[in-house]
Amino acid sequence: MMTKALTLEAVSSGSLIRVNSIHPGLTDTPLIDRVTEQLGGGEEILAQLRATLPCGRLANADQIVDGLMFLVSELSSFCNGSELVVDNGYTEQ
Amino acid sequence: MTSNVEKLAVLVTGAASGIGARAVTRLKQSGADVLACDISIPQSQAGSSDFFKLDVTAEVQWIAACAELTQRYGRFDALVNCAGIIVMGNAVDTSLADFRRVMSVNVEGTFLGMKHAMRAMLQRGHGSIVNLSSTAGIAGAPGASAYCASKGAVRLMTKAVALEAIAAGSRIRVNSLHPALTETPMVDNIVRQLGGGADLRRQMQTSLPGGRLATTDDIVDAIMFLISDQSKFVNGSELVVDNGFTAQ
Repeated sequence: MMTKALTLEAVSSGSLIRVNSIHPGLTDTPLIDRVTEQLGGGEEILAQLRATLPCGRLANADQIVDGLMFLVSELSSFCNGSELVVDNGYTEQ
Repeated sequence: MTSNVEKLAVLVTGAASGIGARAVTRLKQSGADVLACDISIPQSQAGSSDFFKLDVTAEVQWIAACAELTQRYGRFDALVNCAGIIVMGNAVDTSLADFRRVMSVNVEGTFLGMKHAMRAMLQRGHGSIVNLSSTAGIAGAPGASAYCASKGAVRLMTKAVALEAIAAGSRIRVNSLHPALTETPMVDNIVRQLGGGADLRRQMQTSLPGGRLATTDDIVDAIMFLISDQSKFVNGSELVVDNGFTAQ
């Protein structure tokens, strides 16, 4: 919601600054390693995490960066205050 | 960043005007194979094999259109459901016939497109479907109750089908796109239905945070993203392209 507020502030100041948010699902990063570690670690925890995802696999960093590349590029020039969900259907369950 | 648009075989509905027409032009410029479908073929395209007659409310015509794309290009990679209509009017003044007409084109048309595109795509196990919803599928638009109902339905039907595609073990992605008011013949139609002129058009512009309507290119940019591999983990998502309109 802070993103949306900033969007409106930017628009009302007459600027062409765009502010959007990106919402990845679980992504194969060191953060996931830390999460599994905090939960007791091991392949079993990771398997449990994967099982919560519709397709059973984590995103990779490239898939999230593809979304970032879209949002910082001119291809998204009318996207402002938008939420780009990159989760292969996780939040639609 | 990966983009593979030039390799895609794409079916676009509502291709005779507005966002659909611009999508066809841009896709062709990118090297994609496109079947441009509309209920009426533009006079300038008469006799052109690029255009294919499709009434999106007629299932038999959907079957023919999907077969045509697959036969011509040997694959079915993407569907862009742009066909849509709007009938303005408060709910208390809207006839059931008008309500049903809007739902028929916007909801049943999208449903039939997904049904038959999915069947074709499942043979190869991948594909991308983009359903044109609207900001009116997210927030209420007074005076457009039938249109809101239809675009809200498209939004959630999209998510259900995205999950069905995953459950089927496919890599078919299904997303919805939510433009704000866009410079198209549909906006001209709204102005006409409301009996307005330049003043009404100005009011529309000032209702948007940036003071301008979207251009068809603004929306097609997002379509290109959603059908390409650049969005391959984007599935069941709703991409809002409204320069902050629904952030208000």
